[in-house]
Amino acid sequence: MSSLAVEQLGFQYVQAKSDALRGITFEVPSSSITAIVGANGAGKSTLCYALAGFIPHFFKGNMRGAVRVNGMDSKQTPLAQLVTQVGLAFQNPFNQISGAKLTVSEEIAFGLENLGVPRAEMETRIARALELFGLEQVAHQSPYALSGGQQQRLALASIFVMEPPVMVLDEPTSQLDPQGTREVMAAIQTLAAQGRTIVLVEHKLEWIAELATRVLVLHHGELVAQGAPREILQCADEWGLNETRYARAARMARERGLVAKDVLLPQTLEQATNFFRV
Amino acid sequence: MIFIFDFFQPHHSHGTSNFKNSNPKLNLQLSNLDFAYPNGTRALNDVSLEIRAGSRIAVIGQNGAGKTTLVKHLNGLLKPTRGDVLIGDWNTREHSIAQLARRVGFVFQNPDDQLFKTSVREEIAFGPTNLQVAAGELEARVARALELCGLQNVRDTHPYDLQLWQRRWVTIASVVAMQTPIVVLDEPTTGQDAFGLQRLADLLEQWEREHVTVIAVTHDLDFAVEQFPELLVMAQGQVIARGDARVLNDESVLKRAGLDAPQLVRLANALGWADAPVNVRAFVAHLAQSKNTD
Amino acid sequence: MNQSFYLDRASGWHALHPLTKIAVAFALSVTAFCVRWDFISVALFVFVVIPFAVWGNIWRPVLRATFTVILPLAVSLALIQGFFFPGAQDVLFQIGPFALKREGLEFAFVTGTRLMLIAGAGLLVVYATHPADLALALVQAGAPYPLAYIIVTAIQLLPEMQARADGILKAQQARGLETTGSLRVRVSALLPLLAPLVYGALENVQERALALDARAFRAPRAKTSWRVLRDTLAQRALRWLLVMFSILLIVASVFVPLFIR
Ligand SMILES: Nc1ncnc2c1ncn2[C@@H]1O[C@H](COP(=O)(O)OP(=O)(O)OP(=O)(O)O)[C@@H](O)[C@H]1O
Ligand SMILES: Nc1ncnc2c1ncn2[C@@H]1O[C@H](COP(=O)(O)OP(=O)(O)OP(=O)(O)O)[C@@H](O)[C@H]1O
Ligand SMILES: [Mg+2]
Ligand SMILES: [Mg+2]
Repeated sequence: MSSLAVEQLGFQYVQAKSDALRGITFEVPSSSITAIVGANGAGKSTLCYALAGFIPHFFKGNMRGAVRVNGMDSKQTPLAQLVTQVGLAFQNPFNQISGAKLTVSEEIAFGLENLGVPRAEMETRIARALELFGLEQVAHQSPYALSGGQQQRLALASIFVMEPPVMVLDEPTSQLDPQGTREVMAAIQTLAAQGRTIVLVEHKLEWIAELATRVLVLHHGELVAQGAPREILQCADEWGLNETRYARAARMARERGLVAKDVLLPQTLEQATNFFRV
Repeated sequence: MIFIFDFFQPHHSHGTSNFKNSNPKLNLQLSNLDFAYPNGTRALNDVSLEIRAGSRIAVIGQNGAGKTTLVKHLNGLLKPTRGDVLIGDWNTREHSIAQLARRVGFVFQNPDDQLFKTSVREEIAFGPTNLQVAAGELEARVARALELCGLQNVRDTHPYDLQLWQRRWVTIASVVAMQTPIVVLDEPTTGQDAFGLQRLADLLEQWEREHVTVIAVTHDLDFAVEQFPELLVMAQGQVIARGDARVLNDESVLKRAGLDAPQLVRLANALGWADAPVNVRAFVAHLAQSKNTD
Repeated sequence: MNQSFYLDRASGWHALHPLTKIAVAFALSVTAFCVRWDFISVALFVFVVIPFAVWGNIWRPVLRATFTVILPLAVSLALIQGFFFPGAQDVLFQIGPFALKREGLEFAFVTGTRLMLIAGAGLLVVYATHPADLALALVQAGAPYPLAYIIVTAIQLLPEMQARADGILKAQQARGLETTGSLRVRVSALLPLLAPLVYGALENVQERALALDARAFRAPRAKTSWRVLRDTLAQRALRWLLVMFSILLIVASVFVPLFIR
């Protein structure tokens, strides 16, 4: 069963001269991890908004095609209902604070309050979120008195704690240290294993190759490739993506005739080790 | 030793105009620096550091380690709770942020903390205007900053109408145009695609040619070891290691600072190589050599 | 940067139900307006506001904020009313063509001290009440959920604006704009601050709306609360008494000339 189905999706922002998205069609199976990659301005965030219903309900413009969330047409379903199905962590971690709460714990609680979660349950869920995102030490600090990475952890924790069946994460690790990135990726993997559906925009291709079920490549607003990570990422350089050093080294070695021509470029440490060992 | 050229001091009035020729040597000296935020969080704990003019240093470390807090001391945005910060001969306690702006350009971690003008051009012109750059040169500087940062097409756009990654470039451009002898960048690599990172690498090279001191905070270790000869590793309010890429061979440093070794280091280790190449070219050279000796 | 008035202290005054604190502030203000005695506001301030502020361990900020707001106001009131109060006769002394008159000064004193009392009573509440508790109290008292949020964020507006202004100033200074020093410098730094402050606030409204929606703020569900409010029978009784007392006072001041000013 697919959690998200996108058909011929196109979108033009109100004051924009050209389309941000054109003719996008794909499906996201449940309990999968789908990665979206693309250069700056390719349309990744716009697609995220559309998946979570913020297009057309929040951002105005000309939307074509359709997005179905667990079978519901996003155009026909109110945003208040969609957000209980699809959680969206925005790209900019600095402006996701509710403004009504004074501590990190309270900020995480905000979404649960809105969903009407009983207080006793809140307690365990908040404690788990604090631990998962390494925020225990700042739990009682103001959400405004945090480092950049801590703010991003808070933004993610606030969405994760709501436990939506589908989660769309727009560059969730942009401010995180490598260890934090690893923890978030592990959490994503666990959630997918438990049946949650994840859509992930990410520049760190090594991680995509490690855990994505499928990769979608956006280029100038169009879906130019989709498939298994290792195959798709072969031409990462042509789409302006940050190739892994493994792939770069392999490409250069290939050009110099140091390795066989017909082997796929490696994207993970394991692939690279095998690639260069032979 | 510290070279002292107080060329920007008001009493050296002849010194202000010929900035390019005077080629200042401003070393940075931090001694026994402590810092606590008003809510009591101790963010820096006895940091002592000397950074020589012309260095190019990447500051790395876990979230909340104190990187932003540290670099905000370099242009006086934060003043030490204890200890001193010297920018050349200037103690940051004795100079306003605006005065220090003549010596240190600062790019904020969050672009929205930095932008306040209504067009990209005005935003870039703001700094040099305050530094009393003459009109003709001002335009030249703006044009150059626009070009170096790839912003020619959005010259007249409102910064708020740009995307986050473009706003980041506007913040960088507005510091480029100030032509300060020291530049501090808080996470310039965030959210950049391959073109963006290449542009950043080019800019670093440009600064190198101009002998500008560059201190950049980043989480992109692969980029850091390729582009920065020196790394400064922070954890829990302290500098726990400093040196070239080899500091990352120390497992305990990585663990304390929440870091993973760069990809090529991990790969070299997995392949059982004795030493790790810092960039792809060196890696392939090493590979070629080992193939030849086989 | 502090983005809220609330000062987290473990005091009995803090622990009171938000509506109790509001009822106290309300009754104080009503009394100051209805009782016909020139020193009523001063008396209430000294014998009620200050002791409560000491109890809440917030007397320093309450006094500081009250006087930074009231002093400039009081001075201008005294000057304007002292010299130009309509119909005043009793000249205290003459400066050139201007005469300082007693009636004007009295009026300025009564008005100024009333404002001082209201400011003090209000600060007593906002410094000691967690905004989320206030929202919760309002919702429990029957206010719609979004309205409670709006009221709470409106209270935070001032400190938030201050924080944002501070941020913009820092950014401008970091690019060489001198904003400290002589009065002239500081005044001329105000103008370039204004436009980004307003623009940023507008931008912020949009971002907030987005963040709220993402957190299911408008989800049609019965809301729950993370924070727990403690209310007691005694407090409920006290609130009723204070409200009845205030209403009686207002009624009395309309009908009994003794009370009217
Ligand atoms: N609110 C908006 N109004 C008008 N145009 C917009 C808006 N948001 C994005 N755009 C435009 O739509 C296009 C796609 O932008 P989008 O933010 O989706 O790209 P992205 O792939 O997420 O880029 P990045 O890697 O920088 O996050 C860009 O050309 C951008 O300028
Ligand atoms: N305005 C503030 N008020 C109080 N504490 C703060 C404030 N800003 C940061 N802190 C705290 O100070 C410590 C250091 O923060 P800093 O921003 O310097 O970290 P950082 O190394 O830059 O982290 P990141 O990689 O997440 O940006 C953290 O524990 C943080 O919670
Ligand atoms: Mg984006
Ligand atoms: Mg930081």
